[in-house]
Amino acid sequence: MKVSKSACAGFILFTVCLITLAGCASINKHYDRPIELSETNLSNEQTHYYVILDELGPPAYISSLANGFAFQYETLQIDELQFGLSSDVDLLRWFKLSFGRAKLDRKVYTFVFNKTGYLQAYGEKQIKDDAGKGISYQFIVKVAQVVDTQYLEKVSPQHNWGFALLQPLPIALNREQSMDSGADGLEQRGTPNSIGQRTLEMHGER
Amino acid sequence: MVLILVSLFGLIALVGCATWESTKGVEALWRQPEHQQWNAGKTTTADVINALGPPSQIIALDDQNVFYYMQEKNTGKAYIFILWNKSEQAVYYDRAVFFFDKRGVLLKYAYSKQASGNESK
Repeated sequence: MKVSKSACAGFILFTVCLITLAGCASINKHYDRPIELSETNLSNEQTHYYVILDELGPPAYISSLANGFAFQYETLQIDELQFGLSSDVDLLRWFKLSFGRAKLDRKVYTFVFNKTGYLQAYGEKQIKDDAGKGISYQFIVKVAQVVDTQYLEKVSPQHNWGFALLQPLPIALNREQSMDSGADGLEQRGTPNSIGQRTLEMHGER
Repeated sequence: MVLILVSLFGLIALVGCATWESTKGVEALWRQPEHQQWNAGKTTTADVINALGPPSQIIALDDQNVFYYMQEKNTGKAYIFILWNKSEQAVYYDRAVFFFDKRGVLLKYAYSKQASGNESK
């Protein structure tokens, strides 16, 4: 059987188009270097904060507490996998329908010290969790996240500390209770604004 | 044949890659060799602030003050091959903390972990 040149070209073109109908994307985000506490002999009232600093370096957050102070270390990894579908119809071929699912790997250490700098309590938690899923319709050559993980990617409070009083009024007026000040507690990334001191900042009202 | 070439060229033309990098925060002067001479019990707040400039944050603990310096580096790269796309972003922090007593004398300091490990004294 003799296959014509045009039929061959048509077949190849069809195959190429078929392949381009589907694709996938991987989006990875890392926040801070991995931390690992090798010192296993931590004991309350005996371990000084110097030991923690020697072991883990400066914490991500430091806060004064009523009767001492606290350190918090946090690392975060967000991995999103997307599967995209496109169409071979003229205009639609430049767009894709993406289905994405994100996974979260978070590690947190919190150390609470008394006034003299000795350990009062500490906790460690590694969480591997589902960060959500989503669908979007986007340009075919764009790699954008489908799952909204912005709430986990907040700016470090140290960057904004210098202009804290220039924030919107509900935030500035409640500076004394803010967890970004280093004077009134700690929170993990992604903690909703609708609990604790953050409610005073009226995030839902603005 | 022309049609095939045009199709292939079109596909290749859509392939792309990108890299980005940004820095936030204070200059990491504590990494410079001349600024590594801190002595607990001797160095004062004035020595540190003169050498490193204003800190990112000052935290008042009960009877200690903390100078917190931080530099944030955000790097990323993306590859677009239509069939398979990949984007990677890493945000790393270089930190230095100095704990002073009520008189403003250094008690303890620590730097972030680098390839060779934490540096603290």
